[in-house]
Amino acid sequence: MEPDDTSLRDDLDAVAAQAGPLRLDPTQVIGRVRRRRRRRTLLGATAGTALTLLTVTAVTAVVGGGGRPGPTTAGGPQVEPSILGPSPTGSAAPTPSVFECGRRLTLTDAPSSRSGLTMTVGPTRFRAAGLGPALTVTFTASAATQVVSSPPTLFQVLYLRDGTIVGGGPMLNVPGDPTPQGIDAVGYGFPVAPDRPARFDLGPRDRLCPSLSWQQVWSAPSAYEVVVLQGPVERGPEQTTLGIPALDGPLLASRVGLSR
Amino acid sequence: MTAWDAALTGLVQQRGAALKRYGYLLCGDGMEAEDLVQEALVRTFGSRRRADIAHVEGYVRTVMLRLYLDRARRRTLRRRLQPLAVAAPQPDRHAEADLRGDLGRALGELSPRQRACVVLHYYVDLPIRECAELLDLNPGAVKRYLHEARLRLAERLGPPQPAREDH
Repeated sequence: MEPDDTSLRDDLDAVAAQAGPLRLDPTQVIGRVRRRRRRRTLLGATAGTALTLLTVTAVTAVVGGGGRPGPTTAGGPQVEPSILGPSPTGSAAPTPSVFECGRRLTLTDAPSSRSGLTMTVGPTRFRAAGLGPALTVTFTASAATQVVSSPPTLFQVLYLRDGTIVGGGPMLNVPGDPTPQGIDAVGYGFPVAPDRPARFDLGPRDRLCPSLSWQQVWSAPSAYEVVVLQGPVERGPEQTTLGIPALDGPLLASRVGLSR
Repeated sequence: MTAWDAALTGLVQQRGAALKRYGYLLCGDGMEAEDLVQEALVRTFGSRRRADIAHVEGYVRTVMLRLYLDRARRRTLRRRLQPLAVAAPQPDRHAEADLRGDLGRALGELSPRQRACVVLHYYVDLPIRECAELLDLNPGAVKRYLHEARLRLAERLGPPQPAREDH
């Protein structure tokens, strides 16, 4: 014989009532939820970072780091008009936001000082007819801070002629290459204070766009300009972080004319 | 306070006792019921996909059900794998039970799925079809579990008895 349904429902209600009140502190549960969410975000970010690092490594291998002279730097043929001609960004087709040979560099938000940190690229020094200039960058700060950035040898440098990119790196694509760019942002750090500026040699920066040579550049250095770029500046209580520069993001920039 | 913080706090304050009663019927233990509620809340609100706060209690109840079934399955597996580790019979928590206590003890003798079917159908008042969806069963299986459960409960509880007077 099966128990009567109504009786069973009533008895179940009565048994359930023995459970008593819930003695659970919502703040403790919220704490656990937050930790779980952070863990999940971290796991996702770790996977994303691994993918990004792989991409960056591949891009750096293809484009070539700033420390390596490019194969087109010595004794190349004459500059192609397309390189120094009107910017391809003037066309109707959308262009990717990458540093690209032949692209006109238009920086809308790129002061040389952000959050009390100022970057100044020093006067260029001639090294040799077939090589790029020796470049230095000096950071000054309105208050003492520890700056975290990529290593100076990976600071983004661009050579411009009439505002158009003709060389530099390490992030520089050949014309028409939309491959995403990045820099392996190793946690390089240095202190800087009002009375203690930080000065860095950026190392060999010899890469030029195809069909341009340093002999051509040095034959008319005043036509060229050097721009050093850093990404967004994030000022924290203990340190200042320099992000990786992106064309469409806020930048820290410093320019200097090329001179022997 | 974010939207989910407020939703969680409100749910615990307004529906916490109901969730615990549901968990208690499933597992038969007050402490474990609280643990089921807490774990289900963490899992439900820990997932950013569960943005629909209006249905969050339903999510929590579903997670509690799955946690209960999962734990029951693990306990069964553990008993099968470690026969020597099975402890002596536990002290009867319902030794002083009245009719309700008898039902509580009788529920404990059902299989986890039978018990879940009884709770969902007779306590939560879900129709057979919805019980089947929650338990990943077909409706026929739910009917069978319910039939078996009612027979077993009838065996254990016997014919209806008049309420006992306590002295």
